[in-house]
Amino acid sequence: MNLRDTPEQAQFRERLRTWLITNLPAEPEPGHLAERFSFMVAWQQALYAGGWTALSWPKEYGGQGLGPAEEAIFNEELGAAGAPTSLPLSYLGRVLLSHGTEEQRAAYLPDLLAARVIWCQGFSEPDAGSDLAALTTRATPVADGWVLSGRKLWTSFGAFADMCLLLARTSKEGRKHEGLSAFLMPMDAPGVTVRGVVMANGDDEFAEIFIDDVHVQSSALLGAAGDGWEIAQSTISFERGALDLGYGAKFARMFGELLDEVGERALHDVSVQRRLGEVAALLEVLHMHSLRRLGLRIAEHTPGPESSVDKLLMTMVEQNLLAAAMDLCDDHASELRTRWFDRYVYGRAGSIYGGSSQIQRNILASRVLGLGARKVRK
Amino acid sequence: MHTGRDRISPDGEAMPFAFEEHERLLEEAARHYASSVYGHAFLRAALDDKDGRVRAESWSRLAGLGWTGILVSERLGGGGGSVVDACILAEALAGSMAPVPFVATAMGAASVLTACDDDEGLIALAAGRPMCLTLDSRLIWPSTQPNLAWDWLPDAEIIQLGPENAVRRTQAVPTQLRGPDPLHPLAVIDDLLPNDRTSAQSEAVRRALVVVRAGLAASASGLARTALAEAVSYARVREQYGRPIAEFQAVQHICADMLVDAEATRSIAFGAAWAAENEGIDEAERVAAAATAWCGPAAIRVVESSIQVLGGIGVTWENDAHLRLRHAQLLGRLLGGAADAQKELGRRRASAAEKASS
Repeated sequence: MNLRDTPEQAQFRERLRTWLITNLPAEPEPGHLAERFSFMVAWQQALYAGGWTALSWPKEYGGQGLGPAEEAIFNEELGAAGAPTSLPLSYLGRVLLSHGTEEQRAAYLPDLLAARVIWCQGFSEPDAGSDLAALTTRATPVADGWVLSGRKLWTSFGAFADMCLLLARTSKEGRKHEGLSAFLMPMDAPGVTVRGVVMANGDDEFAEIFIDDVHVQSSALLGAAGDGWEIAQSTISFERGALDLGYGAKFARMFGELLDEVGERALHDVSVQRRLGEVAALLEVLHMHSLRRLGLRIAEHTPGPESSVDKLLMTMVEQNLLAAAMDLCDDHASELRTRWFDRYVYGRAGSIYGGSSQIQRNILASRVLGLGARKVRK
Repeated sequence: MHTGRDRISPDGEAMPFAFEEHERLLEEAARHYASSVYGHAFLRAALDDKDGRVRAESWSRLAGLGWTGILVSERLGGGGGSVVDACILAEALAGSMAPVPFVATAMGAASVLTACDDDEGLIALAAGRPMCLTLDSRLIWPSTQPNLAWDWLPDAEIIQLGPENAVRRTQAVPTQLRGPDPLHPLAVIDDLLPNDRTSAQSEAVRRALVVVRAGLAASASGLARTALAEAVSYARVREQYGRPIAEFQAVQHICADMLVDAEATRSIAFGAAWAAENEGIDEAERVAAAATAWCGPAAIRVVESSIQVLGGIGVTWENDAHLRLRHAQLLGRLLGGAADAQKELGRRRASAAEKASS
């Protein structure tokens, strides 16, 4: 067992830290949506220019040819430094890399990596959330391509994206998972309309996409017709992938802020110390768990359904940290409490997005623990 | 190296560890040995054995395997193993509820004797001599006035820290308590000298405490792992309303939560074991305190849930589930348990933040 960086990894980490000192934006993320979006694009372009994108991709596709360890170090250091949130580019690019044709890779990957073209993800629908495979957006074959029709929800930066990785139904035959396909849809195609969705904390980066008889070329199909479910699964696993250490580092940074704000009381009040200690222990548990998962990725263990453990653990730690902030920042006259309150409210989304906690438990029960005899086991 | 399984195996592992090859082999051998020796009949014999002979014999057999001296250096007849190795054994033994004082003796007493350079004691310990650490009645160590021997075996020597971190080994005639966990008994010793707390603990003694905490965490992981496996295999066969209870989502979600607790326990337990030897003392203490804060409560949750899935049968004397709960409760309280560890962590973080800002 070894939890320490190798000399090469330590060198990589050091090089990244040095780069971050001069390149990390000094100003905070703007609150206004359009400004925030430009801010994030600028950050993405800075990362690209610095050679920090697509770390584990092969070099011929613009990657750095590194491994999962460097990717994890990257996420950890950015989380710890309080870097701006990343646009959903690298994991969507990863999907194009693994499922796209040579032509699709050549057409889309260079602009995606350089953040010249912004992508978004169109999976969930108003009536297909946890039951994603029940989605009803249709793709009908026509002479020179497909006609898309339906409605998507919870698309981050939908209003600003140039391209969308879209999941649609190409067949009603067989099991509902089998009739899905993935499409690369330009967001400026006639028939695409986007409307913003304001979240409970005032955040407005999510959008709803209305797709009314949108015509796309045959080349817009990713993989074969019917590959949609498999592509969706791999998108979700890439999305989570190496990010776990990044989340842990981000939570640890938030905990540091909380410590500063609780201040003096933490030195004298035992009940405050105990509440802080509870969170500190959870952060340590999450960190060690993430290192264990990283060790497995380095050993080329393909992540399977057991990664639902990681999501449940991560959500629990985040929500416990935010609940602690509610307990400890109890000065209602303070602007700080309002800020933590916004974070706390948004934290409730953690157990809903990316597969709700109930879905994660179903996955663990049926696919890891082998409970539910009537289910087809993997 | 890892085995790449993505389904739970009969011994209840969903997620392997990126262990080295020798660690994986040790784990396999330890689990095999523990599960084949400490079955239901053996545990019942140990329960009925008032003078502790069954447990004492069991300890001698572990000495024969070289497990009692796993942390003793090879020069003194020990195995020269790492804390991770010792935790692999602790996890396997607790998983089978082995009625032996592995953490108290092979990890605790061994690290204290090592910290105090007591070569003679270490030679005896590796050869299978029973030895006990002393605690106060709240199960805290080191303390001013100890009066309990933790995990008592007949004829055990009592290990105490004397002045200047010198170790004191004495023979005592204790009174065994009924206590919460009959397989890991506590015994009252009235005539102990006070421990010395006037001089600051040496780093070696602090590290010994870290090793004990890692061992307790690994034991909690073993208990959680087998409690989960027990619940899962029962849920698959127990039928109500004409189908296995494993098909009910209410039961499935209990088991899924047990899995999260068990896997997280394993991650922090071995993280603490690794840090105990590979990190500076402050960092090692921090991870060990986090392990103590998490693992006891998590193991208790998992064992309680396992009893819930077993239903009425799980609360009978005849079923071994209560033995697991008893051990989990003992582990969860030792060295101040989660409550003290949380306070310690909060205090550490608060004073570190204070130092950073001033």
